Amino acid sequence: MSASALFDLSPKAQGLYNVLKEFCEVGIQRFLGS
Amino acid sequence: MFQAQHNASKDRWQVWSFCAVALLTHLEQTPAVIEDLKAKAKKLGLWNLYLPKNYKESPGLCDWWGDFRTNTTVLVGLTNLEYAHMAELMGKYPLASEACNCSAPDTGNMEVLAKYGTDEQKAKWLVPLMNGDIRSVFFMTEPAVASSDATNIESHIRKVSRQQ
Repeated sequence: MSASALFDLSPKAQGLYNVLKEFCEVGIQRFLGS
Repeated sequence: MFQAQHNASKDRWQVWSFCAVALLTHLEQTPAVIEDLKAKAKKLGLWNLYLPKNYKESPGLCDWWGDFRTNTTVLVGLTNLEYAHMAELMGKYPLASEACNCSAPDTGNMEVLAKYGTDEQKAKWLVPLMNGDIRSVFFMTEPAVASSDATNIESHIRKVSRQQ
């Protein structure tokens, strides 16, 4: 479920949330998994 | 109860000591990757997200950001509600909060400095904190005051004039 489905985030905030999600799931998780 | 727990495991404190030493050793060494992650987070605009948009120091509004400010992904601050989603996400991943310069106690200290600091204090402490160049602390332990609830703090500062 996207954040905007829970609360009405602005498009900019939703975009930033998506960038942060990818940063955490890919960038940081890759480091932690290595 | 405590004595029963204590006696249940003779090596309880040995195990604890081993874990504490290992943990403290780890904590004292900032992972080398953190600076790389901070640089990536800055580039992506994932930086100082905690500062609400009503602060003039908020990302996108402040002259301190230099080249970073030209990044089109930089927002003009988030609302507390919007930041709540970001904080929840960062909380799920170790290093994420620090990588995005959104970790405690720095965030609260930066808010205090942004709201109440003098220009001199901001230049000395707030700018390097917001740049992620330094970390900060928050002392809240006092005699006879329990918990880490900052609202319990009893210390106070009173201005005393010699002319009074």
